[in-house]
Amino acid sequence: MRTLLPTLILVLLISLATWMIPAWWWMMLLPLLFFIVFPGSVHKSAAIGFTSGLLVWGGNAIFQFIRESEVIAERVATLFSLPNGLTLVLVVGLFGGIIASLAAATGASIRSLFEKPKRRKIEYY
Amino acid sequence: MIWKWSRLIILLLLSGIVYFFCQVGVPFLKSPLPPFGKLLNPTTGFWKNTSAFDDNDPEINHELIEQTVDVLWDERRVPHIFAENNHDLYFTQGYIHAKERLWQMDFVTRVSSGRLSEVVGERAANFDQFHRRIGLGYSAKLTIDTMKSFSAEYAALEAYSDGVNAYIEKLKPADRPVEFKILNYKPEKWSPYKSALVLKYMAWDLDGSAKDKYMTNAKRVLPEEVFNAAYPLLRPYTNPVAPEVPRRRRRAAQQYNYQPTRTYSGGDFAPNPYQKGSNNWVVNGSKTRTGKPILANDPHLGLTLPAIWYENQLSSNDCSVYGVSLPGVPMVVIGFNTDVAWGLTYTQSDRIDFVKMDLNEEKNQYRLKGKWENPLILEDTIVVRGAANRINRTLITKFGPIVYTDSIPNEGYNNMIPDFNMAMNWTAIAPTLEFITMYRLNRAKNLSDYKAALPYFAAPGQNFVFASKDNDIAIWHNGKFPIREMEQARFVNEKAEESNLWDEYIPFDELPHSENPAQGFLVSANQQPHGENYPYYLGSDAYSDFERSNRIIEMINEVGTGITPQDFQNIQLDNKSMMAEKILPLLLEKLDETTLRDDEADVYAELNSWDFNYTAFSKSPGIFYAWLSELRKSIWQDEIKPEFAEDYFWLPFSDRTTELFLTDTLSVFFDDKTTPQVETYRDVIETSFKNAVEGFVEKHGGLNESWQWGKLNPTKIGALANMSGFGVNRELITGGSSDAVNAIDGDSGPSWRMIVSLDGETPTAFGIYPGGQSGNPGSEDYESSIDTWAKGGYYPLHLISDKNNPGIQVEKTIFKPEE
Repeated sequence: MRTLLPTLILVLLISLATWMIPAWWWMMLLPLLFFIVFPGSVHKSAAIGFTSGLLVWGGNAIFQFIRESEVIAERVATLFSLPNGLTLVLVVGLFGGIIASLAAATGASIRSLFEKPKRRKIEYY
Repeated sequence: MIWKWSRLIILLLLSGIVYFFCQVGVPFLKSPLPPFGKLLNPTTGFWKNTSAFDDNDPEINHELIEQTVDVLWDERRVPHIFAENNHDLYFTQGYIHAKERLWQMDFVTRVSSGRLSEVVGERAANFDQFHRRIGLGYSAKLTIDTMKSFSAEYAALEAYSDGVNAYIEKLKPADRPVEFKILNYKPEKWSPYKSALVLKYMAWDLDGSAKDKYMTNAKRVLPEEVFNAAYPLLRPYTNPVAPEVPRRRRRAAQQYNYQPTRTYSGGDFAPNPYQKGSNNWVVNGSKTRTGKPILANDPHLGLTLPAIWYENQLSSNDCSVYGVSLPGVPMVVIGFNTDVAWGLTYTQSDRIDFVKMDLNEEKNQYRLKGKWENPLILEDTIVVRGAANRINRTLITKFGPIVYTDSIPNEGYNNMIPDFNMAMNWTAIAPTLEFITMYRLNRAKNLSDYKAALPYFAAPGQNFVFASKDNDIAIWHNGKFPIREMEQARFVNEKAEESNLWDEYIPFDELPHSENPAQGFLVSANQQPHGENYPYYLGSDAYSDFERSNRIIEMINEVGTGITPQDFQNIQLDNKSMMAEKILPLLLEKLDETTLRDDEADVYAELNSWDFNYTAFSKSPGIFYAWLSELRKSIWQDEIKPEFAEDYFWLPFSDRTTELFLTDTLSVFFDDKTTPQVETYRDVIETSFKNAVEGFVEKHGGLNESWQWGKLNPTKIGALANMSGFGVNRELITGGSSDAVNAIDGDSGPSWRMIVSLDGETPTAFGIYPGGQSGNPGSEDYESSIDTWAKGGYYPLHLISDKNNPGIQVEKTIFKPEE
């Protein structure tokens, strides 16, 4: 539960922002800002970022693949020498995860500079 | 604290790199990488380029539309455009072409103008330089400047361009064609100049395989009698495009002092490259069931996706025409209206000359008549993505542009350039007015309209076949052809002399042509256009042999009278090899069966039972080709110095080899000069057969299924720009050969099959092209007709006369003036 809530919030934020202004860079910007604002260890932030990125891009990709994008996914998969379109879905999910994770870790790392040493670990959740 | 800072710096650095990788890609690699964030994200990336992109808006408003335009989309997504005036007609055509084929249009103009490296990087820089230096962009500009004095036709170009731009303006980044996303660039504004670039690209695609270098090398190496025997000026067994020869001879042959060059050496030349060809033919009403003419056309081109052609109907207050257009160009290129139909085949006549230039040290002047002349010097910059830009200088002389001034990069596309400091004179490097021919032909009502429209067409040379409802038929070997002596046109010109300048062109009415011949039909299949007494030199070394044209004539004669469109379909899909029919029985007869091994006897039996058809499952065509190729080598190769072999020039065409076997069995060419004994033609037949079988068995094993023609020569339809995965990604097994009427051959073949019977109020017409109306690789309509095309199917073509009562199921889009 400690990671579920922030993951869900992040997924929701990225999805909402992308819906309003379609752009790929929300996937970096939002995890970065999220972990500047909210506390979390760098490792844990990276994990949350990764899961959120994987869910948003991977989920979206699989949904579109099933709905109507199979033809183009198969072609792009061949272009990048991947065996099939489903592999591309996986690659896109992982790619989303990696960039969100990196941004989240960077956000947490920035925040850690301004945090005073604590006696005990307090997390907002 | 230091650890925290270090960690942050590393993470920031990594994030920066990843952001750059996602937003910009890696442009400085030889093969630049796309911006993966933009491309892969499911919101704006390639995932969006689905069939949904093809949906048509029910209504489109634009300030430049003058009156309401109705577009009826039939079940194959063919738009039937009904406008009240020509401005709105071409505006709408431009808008629709952009919607369906924007990236293809952009790509073709980039190739033509030498701007591909702006988007794909350094790997295209030499290619771009070449296209700039052959003068495609330069001549497109001249063309547009000249077009401005033809108000109606130029207005059509402008309206079309406005239509393309109206579509581009409303295009959001997420909605761009997927190729723009992969290559990471934006569509640019269109202009009439770009339409001219598309036509120049097509002209080069057809004309850009000059034979001068190869013929010069052959002339240099071979004794005169061998050269003349190997490369006759008149191709054997050919029924010319124009059965009659113009009566007048305009001028006497001039004294010409040319000495064939002895100074040029070759490079890495490919022997006998694929030749683009096409078929068209027409019969008049005396031969048809309806008493009205029927016309057929199938232009053979390299096959790619998106398809070369786009099908549309264009109707306005003064025209109603149906046919195929080139995306990027207004009007219809091949098609029909209610009164006439027309089709095109490439002429294969020689339209390029090379002249070796004497340049000064600064390479900014050339010598003519002992004086230094100043060429027109065009300086431009080739913008190269991810690398340093290149300054390019093109020198345009009176003999055409000089393509290379120091060395020639060995890259394949420039094979035909014989040497550096060589000017290339080509009829397309000039203001040419093909748009006018198309505009007027689209509106033609009869034979005299056709004849009035044709003289504007300069390049590439085309055999225009024609039929009208009035029962007139005609064919014209049409284009701009300079008047030259044979030596000047056929070989590289050793130096710049006034006699090598092009000062006169063959007059239109003296080009090979025929109107309403007694035979009742006309056929062109890239064969020699004229017979023996034609007064001008048009070419000799590039024409297709007799196979396709003679077979079409044979089939027309077989049907005799009462011809129907179905008969024409059978002809277009015919796989028979006339060459095999002519020569194979003789070869088999002369082969001594008793000398054959078991595997050779199997092949002999297989060939003996062959019906000469290039069908997909026949095992004979492949080995027949191999045998013919061995025959050609064994006859001709020993006649030249072995070290030059076939790399240096082309082996004589198969028709000449066939002729030798059929008419001159005692010819000295059958003897292999490299051996002490004297070989006879029987020896040649036997040795070549055994060699061919041995080669085949070594490669494919004894006679088995892998010898089937469809497996040896599978049909491949790749993607424009060679984007892997963007072509047809499955096996296509078809019959056909470049020597058969059904000229499917590997990655080339009939790019549009059309049959039009000018009966009834509107013609009965059928057609198909390999591909689909949509240029969107994510759409089902990208390659929707491939399987039907491969199976030899046709679709009915509907020239709708009443938009309110189209007679077929349609979807409607209305283009309206902005309120």
